[in-house]
Amino acid sequence: MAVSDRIAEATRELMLPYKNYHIYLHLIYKPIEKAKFLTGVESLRKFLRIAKERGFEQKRRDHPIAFELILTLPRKNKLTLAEEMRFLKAMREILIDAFFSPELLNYAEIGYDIKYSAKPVGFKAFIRYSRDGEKFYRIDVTRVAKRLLGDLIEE
Amino acid sequence: MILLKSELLIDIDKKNLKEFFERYIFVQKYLKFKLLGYEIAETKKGYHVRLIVDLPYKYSDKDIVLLQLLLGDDWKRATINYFRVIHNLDNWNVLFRKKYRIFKAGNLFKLASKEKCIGCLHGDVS
Repeated sequence: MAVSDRIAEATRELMLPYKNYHIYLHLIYKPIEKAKFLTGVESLRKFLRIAKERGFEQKRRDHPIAFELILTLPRKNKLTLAEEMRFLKAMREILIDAFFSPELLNYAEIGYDIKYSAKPVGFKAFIRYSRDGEKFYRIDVTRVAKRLLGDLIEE
Repeated sequence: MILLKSELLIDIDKKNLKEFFERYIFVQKYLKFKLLGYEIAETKKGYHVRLIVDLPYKYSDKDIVLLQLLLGDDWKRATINYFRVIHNLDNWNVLFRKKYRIFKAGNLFKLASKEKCIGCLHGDVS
């Protein structure tokens, strides 16, 4: 990092000491990696039916909107790798507690963004899901998340 | 003076910032926003650009999606953002600093991508 960037970083630390973590877990679709057309599989529809029977089904189509767990975590200090692992595990627990099948987690990805601010934002966690991509439902899981991650919140 | 501050998040999927700078200069010339702060980070595929701008008037969320697209945002990301906006979903604009893939039903996490900051300027971004 250049000197000017280090100065910019230090200025930001002074002006905007809070790092508000916005952590997202999306359910993403898993494409079928290899498509081997055997004799008798004359249509894509038939191929997809066989793939589904064998468990290679594409899990969902509308990435990444149909299912998300979103968590907002205010911090003064950056999360350490061990703490990151804790929230990843906590998100897994929240989902399994809510209604989620553990195998579906293999089709998910977790990412986070940090928004800097002068004041901490409130801690919140919610699940957003849709079955048809038209109507969206929201489940507030703030209490469960607070129980699991309470000591990581620096409000 | 009231600041109409907005955050623009642009995901560039190629290892070249020249086009982004060209776009920025052109768009800025016509839309006349003021740059308050920026952060440019390198990713595996390209770059993540975060701009804090002071807009000349209040932009709607749809305008922000379009502005990001004009500045070279990934079109797939823009489509998904637009979808989120028209369905009134909050927390719609996100650019991951770090991303993990999940294995073994959530018992194993593997780092999929991570940003590396290559330049930043934090002005009045509070």
